[in-house]
Amino acid sequence: MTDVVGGVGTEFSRFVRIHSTALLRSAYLLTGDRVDAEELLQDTLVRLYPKWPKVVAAELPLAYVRRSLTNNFLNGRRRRSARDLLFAEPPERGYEPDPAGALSNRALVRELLDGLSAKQRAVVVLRFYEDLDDAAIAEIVGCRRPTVRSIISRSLSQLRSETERRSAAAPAPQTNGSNR
Amino acid sequence: MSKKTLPDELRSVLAEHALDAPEAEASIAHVFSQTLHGDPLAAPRATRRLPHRALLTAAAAVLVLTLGGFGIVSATRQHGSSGAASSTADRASQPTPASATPRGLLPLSSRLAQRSGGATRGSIGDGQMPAAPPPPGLDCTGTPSGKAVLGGSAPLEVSAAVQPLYIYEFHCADAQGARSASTVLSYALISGVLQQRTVLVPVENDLYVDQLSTAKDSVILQGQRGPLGSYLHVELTSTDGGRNFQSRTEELAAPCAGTDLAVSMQRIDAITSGLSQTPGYTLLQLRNKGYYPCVVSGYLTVAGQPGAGTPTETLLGPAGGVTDPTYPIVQLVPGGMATAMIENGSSPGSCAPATSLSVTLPNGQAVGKVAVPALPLCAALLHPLVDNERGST
Repeated sequence: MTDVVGGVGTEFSRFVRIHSTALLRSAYLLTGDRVDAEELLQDTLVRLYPKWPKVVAAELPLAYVRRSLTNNFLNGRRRRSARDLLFAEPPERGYEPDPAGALSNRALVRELLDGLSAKQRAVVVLRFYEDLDDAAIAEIVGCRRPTVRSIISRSLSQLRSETERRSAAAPAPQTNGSNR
Repeated sequence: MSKKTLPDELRSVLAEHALDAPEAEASIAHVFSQTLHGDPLAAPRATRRLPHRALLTAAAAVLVLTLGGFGIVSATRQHGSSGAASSTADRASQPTPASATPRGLLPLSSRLAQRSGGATRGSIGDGQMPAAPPPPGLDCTGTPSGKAVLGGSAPLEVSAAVQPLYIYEFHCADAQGARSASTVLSYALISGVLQQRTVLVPVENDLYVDQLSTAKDSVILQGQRGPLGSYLHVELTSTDGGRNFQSRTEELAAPCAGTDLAVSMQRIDAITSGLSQTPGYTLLQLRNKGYYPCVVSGYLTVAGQPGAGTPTETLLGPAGGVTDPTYPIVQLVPGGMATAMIENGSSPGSCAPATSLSVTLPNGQAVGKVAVPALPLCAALLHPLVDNERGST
């Protein structure tokens, strides 16, 4: 591990340089927070460094690291949820309908993603951002393929119904709701 | 959810949202400090003195494979005089519009603008380069309407030499932005006249240099092997005062395959403002969905369906994100995006509007189809691929 010029150190360094941007984007989608994303990526890579030869020996080293990143995220969320019992209900976030339809949809989808559980969110990110199939997602998240399909179906259903509910409930576009 | 399905909307939102992630630089530095106690590549190897932005992108490039020599052999030493310096070919002093600066690897002209705009090297006269000499032996007759251009230049500080050498890169460029392979030469300033010393990279090596920089005793090049090949990092190092150079070549990115990429589109309708009207345009967006960076450059082949023809003209210019004489070499990190603009023509054209586009890479590999809302394709103008995640303009 001390041979940083030609050995494991260099391999690790190259991997970090090459893939950090993409991994950080994944981490950001998982956490929804820039600082949390950086911490998640840094923690994952630092943890993996001592066993880097094992990572390199994997068929797809990047997939190995992604799996670790996702597991780290899920484990961290479990630890955090155990710590954060005082906040039984998340702070309410306002959603103001945006007359520009596309923007509303995006903001809404983004907000609704925040409302998914950590596992649901991880599966959604792996499917719709990483374009992974059921088998790959199941391996990363640590569940069976039918479970992945179920989570995706449930998440989409949840997103769809919430979108429709809010669209139906949203009043005609107004400025700051001043006449409500 | 408007016209898109929810999964499509999710893909779009997530891809856009991911771009809000922080830059990786701080995380990389933190990881190195916790594991390797510093940057193992940057610290001990002073030769990697690429500009900051370029270094980051190069760092995000693919698995680095030592190829065992690209054949850029030690310089053929030539003592012939190149004649008086000419300023006509020197693009280094031309300002480059800030809006044209791509997000990834800076093109040579941008870097040169930065260099001439204030980058200093104390031992070589505040970074000033002598006006470029005419490119010797560069035959542009093989490039239709091609002309020789200076791609880049940099002073080279060499050990045991009082005077620096000056490195120049030349290639041919045609009106559509296509270019030829580079020739890279070193010169010495003798009695106020540049005299050619060595040919570092002959045209025969088929290296399309995209970046040129120097460190002490080393010339560092990045570019494509051939017009459609891999993206390479080449270091030429001299241990004898610049007379001969040893080369070391690494592959930074393989050419993009069609299966590496996902295609999507963004339509911007015409905008009328006062008396003027901007024609609308469509951005074709190629996202690297693979695990490794890849490289692509040139014009896509776009065919409209059903039977809606193809764009009959290509266009190179600032509207499509290009201000250089040549189109850029675009490196796509995993998740990265390149765009190519299809500019609406001034007339509807004679062919039926396309409802979907079949997109093929410059290397002939099919990427896939993308639905478009009634695009009159045969009157449209096609711009080259540029490295820009949020659009070409």
